[in-house]
Amino acid sequence: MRDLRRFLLVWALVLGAVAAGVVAAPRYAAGLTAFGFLYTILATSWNWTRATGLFSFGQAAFFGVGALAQAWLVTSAGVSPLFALAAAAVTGALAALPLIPALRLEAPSFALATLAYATLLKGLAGNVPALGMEGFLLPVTRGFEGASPGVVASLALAALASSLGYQAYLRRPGGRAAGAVRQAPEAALSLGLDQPGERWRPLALSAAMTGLAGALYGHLIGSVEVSVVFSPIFSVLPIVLGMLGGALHPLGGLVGTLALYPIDELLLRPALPHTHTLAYGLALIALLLMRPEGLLKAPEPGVSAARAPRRIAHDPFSLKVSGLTVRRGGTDVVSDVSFSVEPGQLVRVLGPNGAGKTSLLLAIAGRLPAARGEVLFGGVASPRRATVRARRGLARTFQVPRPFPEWTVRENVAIAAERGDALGEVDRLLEELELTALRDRPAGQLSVGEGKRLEFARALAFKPAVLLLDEPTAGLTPHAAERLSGLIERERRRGVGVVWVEHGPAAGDPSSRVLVLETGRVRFLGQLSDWEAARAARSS
Amino acid sequence: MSTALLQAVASGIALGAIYAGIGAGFSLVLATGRLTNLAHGEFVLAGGYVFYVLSQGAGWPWPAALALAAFAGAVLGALLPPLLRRLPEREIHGLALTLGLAFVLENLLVLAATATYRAIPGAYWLQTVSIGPVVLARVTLVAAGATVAALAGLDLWLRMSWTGTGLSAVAQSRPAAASLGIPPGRMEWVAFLAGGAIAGGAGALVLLTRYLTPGEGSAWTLVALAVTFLAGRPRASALVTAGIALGVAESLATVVAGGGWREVVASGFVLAWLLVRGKTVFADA
Repeated sequence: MRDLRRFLLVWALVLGAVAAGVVAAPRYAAGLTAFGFLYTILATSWNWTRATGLFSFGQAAFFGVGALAQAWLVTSAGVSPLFALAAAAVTGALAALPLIPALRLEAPSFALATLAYATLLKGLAGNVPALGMEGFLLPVTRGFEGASPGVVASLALAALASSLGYQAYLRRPGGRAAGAVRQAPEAALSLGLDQPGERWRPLALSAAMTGLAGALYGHLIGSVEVSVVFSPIFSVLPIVLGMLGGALHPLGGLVGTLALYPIDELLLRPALPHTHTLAYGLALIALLLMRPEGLLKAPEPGVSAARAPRRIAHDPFSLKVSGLTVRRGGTDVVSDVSFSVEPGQLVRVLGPNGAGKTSLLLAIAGRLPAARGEVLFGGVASPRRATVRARRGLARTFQVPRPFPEWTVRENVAIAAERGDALGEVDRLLEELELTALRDRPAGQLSVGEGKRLEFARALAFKPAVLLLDEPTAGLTPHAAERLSGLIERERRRGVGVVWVEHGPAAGDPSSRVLVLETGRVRFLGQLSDWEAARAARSS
Repeated sequence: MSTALLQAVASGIALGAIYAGIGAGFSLVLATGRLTNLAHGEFVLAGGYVFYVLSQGAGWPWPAALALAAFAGAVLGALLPPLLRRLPEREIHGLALTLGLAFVLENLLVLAATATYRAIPGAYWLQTVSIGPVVLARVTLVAAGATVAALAGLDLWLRMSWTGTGLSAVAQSRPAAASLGIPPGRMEWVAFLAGGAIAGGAGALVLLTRYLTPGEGSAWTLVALAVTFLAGRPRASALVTAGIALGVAESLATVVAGGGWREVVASGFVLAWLLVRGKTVFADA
């Protein structure tokens, strides 16, 4: 709430100052204001995609497409400017469609893909005669030419809307999901969140807003030329201003623009009319070296315990692995493995290094494809996608902990609780795993043992139907390991199916079920006591 | 095949050899320096302008001017390691940093050289010779030949020399290389200096065969990316093949569809490669 009030206060101050400026010096202030809001839209829109872990190096693509769409609509098709603006925004979003396959990429590859895309569109647009290889001169429409009230007001409104939208997005489950995907993609996947799924909406919105900005830019300067509207400056500006203000803060785009644009306009442009954009390159370098997180820090993700989350049914089901073979790098790392786990049953998977234990878990989770055989959830072959399986209630922990490093311990658990409908249980889980004292510490600072406990708490907060645990007690103190084993046993008694991979020899209840793997094959499947008896017989 | 097409293929091959040179410096920096240098095209341009000033302005002989162009490229390369060391996330922040650097260099070039097109005026070397049905400028043949020879030399150096194998070792695994007493930090310096020098030298050859303007740096960076992706590994044979494939494709696109299609080829290829393959680094350098 305090965040929101501060956010609105800043915007009220900016709009007030701008209004006063326009009244005092209409001509000059209107132009300055128009470009200021234009850059705010560009920077804020860039931040939308940044929130999901991506860096777009090609916003000029959407900017140019929006500008061309607007110019064509108002000149060749005779559409009124306001209607055309909506169409330009939609066109901008459509221009993002070819980038959908790139959403699965890591940040550097996505950045290069967008860079190439902007160049490609510039090249293509320059070759289409209908798009005006000589450019468009926009018709003079009353109230919608240059820095006229209509254009300035539209820019201000769009800037405010993109900023408000970002504020709302960051505080909603979607924004938190974006944060999860950004910080730890594999852990996010275990909560049912995949990168393309969480990234396409912010990208489309970002492209739409940038397209709208391009359209308004055309009216602002009165003409649209391919070489101008696809210029790389419209890719660099959003990066510099968005990062400078703070890419993960709803006010980042506004603050970045306020910090840099006046210097450019008032000092540099008069001194270096053709090369003043040099400043943006220098600012980007300085920013990366000195303060890559920007001026404003990301606000807390703010999962509120009171809000009713969306409901995902994680009903118990029997997990069956049937004739599963997994191939990695040309060899079968899991061969023809079959077993099942009923609700309330625990299977320990044992075996030396390289036996295929982790590969088996990954295949069950949908992270590795099955070369042969299948994984059945409740007797039905499950779709391969890891998100689909996670959403049925399949939770996992990792051999090496993968917390969401920017968030606190409590927020890590709360994110999972939000998806598992267990928000009321977060503090109890922290207590049970002896994490209460660490609750406000960023999870990136935890030791391995603390991270393992956090992961387990996160998995339980997801309210799993089936738990896949990869060496959950490795690296824990004997006391912590015992406590964790007790919690696993409690979950089992509650009806959760558990697959527990352990490197060393199994301890515990002799009647528990074990699956022993050796070079990917099932060596033994049965009661622990029988396996130990067989081993004793062999060694004597 | 018509003469026009043959001519386009021949020009493409000559152009492609120089593309290979531009890709070579880039891929060396990518493999051992772990940096996708988006300012690579501006390094090429800077070399070209140094060559222009020395050979046209000061009247230096071409080989001496070429050496200084390479030196200028190495100086630019030397800017990078101290900057990169301070970045928290080298890959993505390095990409953004070099994007900023490209912008700075482009504007500095405009300030220093203005946006005018620069070319070496016609003389004996710019006259054409006929090879069968096609004609090429003498200098184009010399530049293409020089690039291929330089790349072959680079290849030998990378494969045979103490430093060269050190560069390959660091490209594959820094900890493993360090455990054998190969200093990764020093190898990185070598990669940036050599990569910059190759870029600067390639810029001189570009100027000899066509013209330069400050705004085309990003187009050269895309060429470097396309050649690097297509080559798959930083070897002379692969780079030359990739460069020629790209050069011929661009040349044909220009003949068939028009001059504006040149940049579409490189950027389209880079985008398609990323969408389909999804990786930027050498898997088996």
